[in-house]
Amino acid sequence: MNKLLDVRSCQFGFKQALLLPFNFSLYPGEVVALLGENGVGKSTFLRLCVGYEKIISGEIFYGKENRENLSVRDLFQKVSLVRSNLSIPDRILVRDFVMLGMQKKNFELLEKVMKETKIQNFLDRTLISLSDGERSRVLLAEALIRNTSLLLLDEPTAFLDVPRSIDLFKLLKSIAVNENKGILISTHQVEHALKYADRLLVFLRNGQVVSGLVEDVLKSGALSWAELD
Amino acid sequence: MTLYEKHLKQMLPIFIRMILLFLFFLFIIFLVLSKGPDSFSFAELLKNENQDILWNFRLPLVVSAVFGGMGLSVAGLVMQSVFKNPLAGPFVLGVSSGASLGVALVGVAGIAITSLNILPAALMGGFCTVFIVFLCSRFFIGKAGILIVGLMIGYFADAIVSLVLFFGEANALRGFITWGMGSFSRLSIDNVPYFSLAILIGCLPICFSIRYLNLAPFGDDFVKDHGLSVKFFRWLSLLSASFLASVVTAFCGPIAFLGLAVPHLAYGIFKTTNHAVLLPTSALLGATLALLASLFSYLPLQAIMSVIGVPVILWVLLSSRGKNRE
Repeated sequence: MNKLLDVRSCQFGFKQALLLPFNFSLYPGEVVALLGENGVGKSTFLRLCVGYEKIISGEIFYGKENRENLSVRDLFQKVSLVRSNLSIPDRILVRDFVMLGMQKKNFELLEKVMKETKIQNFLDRTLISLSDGERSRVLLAEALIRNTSLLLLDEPTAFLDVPRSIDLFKLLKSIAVNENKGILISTHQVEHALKYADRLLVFLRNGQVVSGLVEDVLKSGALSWAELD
Repeated sequence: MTLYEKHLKQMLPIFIRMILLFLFFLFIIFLVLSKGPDSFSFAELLKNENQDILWNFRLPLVVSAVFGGMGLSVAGLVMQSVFKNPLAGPFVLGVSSGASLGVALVGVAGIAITSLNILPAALMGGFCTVFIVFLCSRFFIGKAGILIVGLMIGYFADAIVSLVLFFGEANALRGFITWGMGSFSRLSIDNVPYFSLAILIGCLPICFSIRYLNLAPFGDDFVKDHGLSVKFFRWLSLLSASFLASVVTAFCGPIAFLGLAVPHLAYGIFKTTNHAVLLPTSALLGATLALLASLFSYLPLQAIMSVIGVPVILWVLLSSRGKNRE
C-alpha cells in the first residue's frame, strides 16, 4: 500500500535532537494516535510534518516526494494541520472561517464536510461564541475543506469532555475510512486513543520512539507513564 | 436547497446594501458638485462665467475626497488585519505623523509646500514609521504593545515637528500649518490625475492580498498552513497601505479617524469579515464619508472628521464589551 507520510530515521529539535532517530509511516484509511507526556515533541513533530522546523537528520516523504523539494504551497496541497490553540479574532463568523480552507469554489465538498462535522446549525454564529465541542468540529471542517489526503490534529481533545472526545475519535475514524485519508492525532486522552486508534506512535521521555498496533505497544510497556489500569 | 443556492441567498443582502451604498455615494457626489461648500447655486454654476468654479474647485474637491477617503480607509483596513488589532490605523500607528515630519522638514528647508514637492518626503516619513512600528511589533505579543509603539513614535514625530517649526521661518510655518489642518479642497485640477492614479496603484497590490488579509488575523502560522508566503504578503500589503496613507497625507494633510473608523463601520453594515466584501465597501464608505465632510470644507477637516469618527469608535468599543459579557 502506498504511504501518505513516510518518516525515515528522522531527528528533529531546536538546538539538539528531541528524540532518537525513528521511522514512521502513515497509510490511507487509518487513524494513528500520537501519545507522550508534555514537552516530548508531539507538537513539534506535527509542525515538522507541515513544513515548519528543520530536520536534523533523516528524511520525510509525502508519497514519493521529499519534503526538501516541496514549497509551502505544495505542502498546503498535501497536508493540513488542525490547531486547537488557534487565536480566534472576535468577529469571525463560522461561515467565513470554514471558507478560508477552500481554494477553488467547491460547494459539493463544502456541503459534504458540513454534514460530516454537523456544523450546519451554527454557520451564522461567531466562532468565538461556540462551545468547545462545537468549535473543535468547525476547526476540523476548515481543515477537511482543504481537501488533503493527510490530516494532522494537534491535541483536538484538549478542551473536550469524555463524550465529546469519543464523538471526535469516531468521526475521525469514519472520515479516515470513507475518504481514504491518513489521520495522525496527538492527544492526552490515552484511553480513547487505545480504543479508537488503529495504531499508536509514542514519544518517551528518554528519547525513544515506539510505534505499532495498540496491543503491541501496550505489551512493550511504552505506556507505563500513563499509569493505565 | 443546495448549499450553493444558500450561499447566493446569503450574499443577496450584501449586494443590496452595496448597491444602496453606491447610490448614496453617487447622490453625495451630485450634492457636492451641485451645492458644494460655497454659495453658488447649481443654476448659477452652469452659466459660462461660473464654470470655472465647477471645473477648478468642485471637481478637484470631489476627486480629492473620493480618493482620499478611499485610500485612508483601505490603509486602515489593511493595518487592522495585518497587525490583528481593531484600533490600528494610519494615524494611530504614527504613519500620518511620520509623513508630517517629512513635510515639516521640507518646509523648513525652504521648499514651497505644494503637493508634488512634499510627496517624496511624506512617503519617506510614512514608510520609516511603518518600518519601525513593524520591527517593534515583533517583540510584543499583546495587542496593546503595537499601539503603544505606534502612538509613541507618532508623539515623537510630532515633537520633532514642533521643534523644527519652532526654529523655522515664519513663512514656512504658515504653509505647514495650513497643510497640517487637513483639507480636501487643496488639490488643484492639474494634480487630479496624479492623485487618483497613485491611489488606484496603491490599492492594486492589496486586491491581490485578499486571501492573506482573510487569514492574517489568525496568526502567521495559520497563513503559512494555507500555503501563502507570510513575509511576501505582509510586506506587500503593509507597504501599499503606508503608500496610500502617505500619498493622502501629502495631498490632503493629516486626516485622523477615517482610516480607523471606516473598517469598523463597514463591518457593522455588512456583518462579514471577508475582505472580498470589506475591501470594496470600506473604500466606498470612506469615499462617501469624506465627501460628506467636504460639504463642510470651509470648516477645519480634522475637527469634522473627529466629530464623525469618535462616536463610531466609541460604538465599536462599547459593542465589543457587550459581546465579552455574553
